[in-house]
Amino acid sequence: MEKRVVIKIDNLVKHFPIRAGVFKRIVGWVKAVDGVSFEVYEGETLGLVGESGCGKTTVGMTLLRLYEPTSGRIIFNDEDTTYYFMNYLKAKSYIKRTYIDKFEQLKIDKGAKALDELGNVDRKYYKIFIENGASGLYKYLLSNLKEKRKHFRQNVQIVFQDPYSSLDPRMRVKSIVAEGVLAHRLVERAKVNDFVGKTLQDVGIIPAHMFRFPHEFSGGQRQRIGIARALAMQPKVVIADEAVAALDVSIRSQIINLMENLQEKHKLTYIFISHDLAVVKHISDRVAVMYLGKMVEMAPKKELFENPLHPYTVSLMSAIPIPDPDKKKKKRIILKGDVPSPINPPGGCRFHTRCPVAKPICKEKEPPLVEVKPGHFVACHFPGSLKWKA
Amino acid sequence: MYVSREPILQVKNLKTYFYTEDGVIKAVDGVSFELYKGETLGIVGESGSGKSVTSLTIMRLLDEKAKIESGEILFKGKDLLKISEEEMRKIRGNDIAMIFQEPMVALNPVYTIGDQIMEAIILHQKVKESEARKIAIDLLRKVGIPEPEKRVDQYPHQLSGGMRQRAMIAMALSCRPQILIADEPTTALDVTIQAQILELMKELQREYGMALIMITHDMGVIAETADRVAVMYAGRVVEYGTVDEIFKNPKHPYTYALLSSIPRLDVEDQELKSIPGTVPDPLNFPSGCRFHPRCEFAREECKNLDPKLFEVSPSHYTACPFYGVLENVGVK
Amino acid sequence: MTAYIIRRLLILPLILLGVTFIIFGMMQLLGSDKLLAAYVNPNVFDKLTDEELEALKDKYGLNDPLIVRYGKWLNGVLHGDLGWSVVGKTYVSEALMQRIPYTAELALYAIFPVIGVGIWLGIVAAVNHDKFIDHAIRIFAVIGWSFPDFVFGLFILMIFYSFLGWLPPGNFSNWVEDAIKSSNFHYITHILSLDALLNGRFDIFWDVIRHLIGPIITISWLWWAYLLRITRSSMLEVLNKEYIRTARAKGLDEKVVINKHAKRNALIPVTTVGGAMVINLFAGTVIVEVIFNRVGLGSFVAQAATQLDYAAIMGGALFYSTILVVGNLIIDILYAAIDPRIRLG
Ligand SMILES: Nc1ncnc2c1ncn2[C@@H]1O[C@H](COP(=O)(O)OP(=O)(O)O)[C@@H](O)[C@H]1O
Ligand SMILES: Nc1ncnc2c1ncn2[C@@H]1O[C@H](COP(=O)(O)OP(=O)(O)O)[C@@H](O)[C@H]1O
Ligand code: SF4
Ligand SMILES: [Mg+2]
Ligand SMILES: [Mg+2]
Repeated sequence: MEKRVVIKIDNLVKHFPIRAGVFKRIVGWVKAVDGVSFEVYEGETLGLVGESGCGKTTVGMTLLRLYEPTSGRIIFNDEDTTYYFMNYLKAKSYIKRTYIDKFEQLKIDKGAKALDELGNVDRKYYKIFIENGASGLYKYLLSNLKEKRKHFRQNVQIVFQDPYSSLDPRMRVKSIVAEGVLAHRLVERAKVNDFVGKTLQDVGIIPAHMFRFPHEFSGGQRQRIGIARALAMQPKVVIADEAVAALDVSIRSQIINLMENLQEKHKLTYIFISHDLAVVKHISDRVAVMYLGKMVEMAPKKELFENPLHPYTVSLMSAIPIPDPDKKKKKRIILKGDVPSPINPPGGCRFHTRCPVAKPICKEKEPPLVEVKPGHFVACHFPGSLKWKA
Repeated sequence: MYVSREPILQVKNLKTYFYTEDGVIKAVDGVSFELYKGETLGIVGESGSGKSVTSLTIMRLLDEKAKIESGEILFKGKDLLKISEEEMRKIRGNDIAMIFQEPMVALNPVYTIGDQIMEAIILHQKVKESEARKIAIDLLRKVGIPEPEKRVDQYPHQLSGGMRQRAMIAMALSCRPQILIADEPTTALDVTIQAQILELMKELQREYGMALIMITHDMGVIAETADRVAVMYAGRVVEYGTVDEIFKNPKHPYTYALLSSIPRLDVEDQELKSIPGTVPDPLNFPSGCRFHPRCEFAREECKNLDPKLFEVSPSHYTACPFYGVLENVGVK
Repeated sequence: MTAYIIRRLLILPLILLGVTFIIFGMMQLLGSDKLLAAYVNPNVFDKLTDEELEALKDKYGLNDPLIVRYGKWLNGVLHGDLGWSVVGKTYVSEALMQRIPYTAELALYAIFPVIGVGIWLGIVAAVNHDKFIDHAIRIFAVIGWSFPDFVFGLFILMIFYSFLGWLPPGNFSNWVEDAIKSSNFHYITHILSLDALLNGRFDIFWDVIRHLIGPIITISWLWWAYLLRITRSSMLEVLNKEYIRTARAKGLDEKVVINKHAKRNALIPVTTVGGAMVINLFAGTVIVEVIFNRVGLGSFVAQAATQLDYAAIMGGALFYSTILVVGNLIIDILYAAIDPRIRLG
């Protein structure tokens, strides 16, 4: 069976301006995310892993449009959502840039034949373009923008890392969970208590506790409430940004198991962001490894862990201490130095300053992300040349 | 590695309580362990289990709210709880050194790295400033800081997290202590940097021949570094043994549950066990065995157990008298 | 650090320019007749006819556009010409020169006890956290904090001046005035108490100090309590920092821990408050000089304001603004000197 793509991000870029001086001039850019692409399939968990500062959170926040992307496309359910949260003029110019100009040329060059070489979304839009002209496509994309926004907001939810600061301390749990639901009119006001109770039960919180405040709960319970808040919206996709990082070991496994059960029950799609490779390995179906704003490797879990090809992935795996004293004799790969600054990332391959197998070309030329095996992508001039086995 | 059977540090029935407005926190409640020359003792436990308070008690660096209720801390036979503050100062940083979790906040932001390292050298080794500076630069080089001549005059904020932790290690080792207490030294660092730091600490321990107390919540770090392990839960040591015994043959339900609840890189299709309930409230620890409300093997007697350790083997102790139940379950 | 200071110094004239423009603009609200008084000897002024007035306005450019007049005024300021003061019956620049030393003397004597005592008590309280001495200092501070400064000044005036007669009002006694006008009293610093010492006249020194005690206590009273509170809480916070624990773990003496590691960090926030305080002390002199009937810049400006002495107000405002701007600059430089994170970015 063909897997359905729910979310696709296409060459996503997010640069943050650095301002300095009296007039707050822009003196540089933090290249937090610099051309990341991936697809997420319905019902799966995509793990996004990498060390702090590599841009994982920025990917999540940009995907949700809590940050405006610098460039790139964000596709949800076969519709381009990139322009949803732009003002009208910007949205229009985005559509012109991304579709209209391209389609006009395409129509001249190839006419309807071009349909076959286009991807899903482009094909759909091109069809509209051919049938109804540019104005038809504008109308299709720009009508009902408010509804579209709502639809997106409801369907893509996030769970944050810090269970202490992510819940408003002055709101009762009931209001925290029901706020979005009421705003989106997903349940009637009269049935809210029932609904919240059921949602809380789902995440393992006693329904009667819905009238309490966040501070009356422990860290693990708060994270459950954070999950309930996301779950209440009946989303398709949940982005979990370091959702278990702040929890104690014994609580962490509870939450991981909870998230797995909920996924099964509600057919959720997860983007699971974490710096912890072991947790990512446990929960994900596919894993994407990031380094300094770039994706360096992506593969189905089993493939990635059995056959890691990027030297960074291999080093990361080797660096993780394994809770088995028999395995400590094994010499690990120790990377030199620190992660360079995303303000001035190294040219060529961004990992070359620390890579144990780098050659002169790595400094010169940036390796593209290529599919070396079905579903296994890697961005390295010498994939597989660094070996390590636990 | 050669590990002598001569204890350099013995902690006996240590109790440290905090008297707060909300009540008494029995943060450390009857903790005992030995540290042998040249070995690494791992202390592992979840947050709030009393690991840091134990180490601060050994260093006598607790704040006024804390009261050491009872116990002995014998350093080479001398009870650190009985000596004067003056004598204790001569031991701190000189015989027993300590590194802390957050390299970002553990260094004074307004003095240079060099200044902060030299301070201890000048104090304990009674050398001149120029001499101390040379020693500091050598130490920085030794802990793997590039361009130590330049770094010595830099301020903490000019160094990365990993570099600061290296500087902290340099500072702790400056007087060649016999004991190094490392309280979560790599928790705040990324894994690739953690690997660097753990490697460095192992190397230096071998070279200096010091005994190391490695405090962490990370079972992986413990397996990696420790010779023997004390597992703490709610202010008490619940299991104590060699690293092999603890990891391969755990004899306390908590250790067992903990080991089966961590996602592992080296295990395929692992089923994660959940420890039910929450970490206990320090103001209101459960009676008897403090783990009993969360323990899958708990029975009625557990509510009224005396806190004491049962010998499993001469090197292996557990606080659970019913550890036999773990015979049949096995880890993983 | 040098680059930082240079950068700040380069912006300084710009800020001053902006401030003077605002002051100047506000004064224009008075209207051109009033403004003219600043240029003409008042004895002549009243006798002028309307035509002569207009001619004079033209002569002094009072009918020119605002920006032109501002340019001219600025030009005058740069040449030391601030106009004629009705109240001072002399040129504003001279009037200021006469009075600034008295005010500066008052402010300087107030600053040191405030900063010294405030910071010192704050540190003592923090180091002895929750002990008797801490509580005592805090109660003392709360009392200080709860008294409006002018009420306090009035109390001092009532008790020590009128009732006990220990402390006299004014700048000095009458006999001092004669003494300092005689030719064998040499002005060196123009700060009277210092000059008295330098002239070997301890009697004059003591007289001046006696006149200063009340005003000093009055303007500094509120501030030391404030400074104490800031220092105490800043110090308490610093004492709980991990680097203090690191310092203790090295085996350092508690004295070194406090004096070297804690104090400097604790003083970082205090610098801001302390700086703002010094600046405000100058402002506070206005009220105090009026209450204690002292000659000085503050009382001069107050008088000028009531009599719409345009030129004098401008001059005073210019002086106070300069103090403010330069004071802020000094604070920033101090800040950078204490905290390498600011200095080195
Ligand atoms: N709002 C922001 N403004 C400026 N820089 C930012 C912002 N958010 C993140 N960054 C920078 O972008 C980079 C990536 O950050 P982040 O996405 O948070 O990484 P991760 O989640 O992988 O730890 C970091 O260098 C970070 O400092
Ligand atoms: N200064 C303090 N005042 C009050 N309680 C404290 C203090 N320091 C630690 N505690 C309490 O002591 C218990 C043990 O803390 P700690 O030793 O820091 O745990 P950990 O094992 O995470 O290092 C915790 O419940 C904590 O709340
Ligand atoms: S491209 Fe070169 S530097 Fe980059 S990871 Fe591959 S081998 Fe290393
Ligand atoms: Mg993040
Ligand atoms: Mg701790």
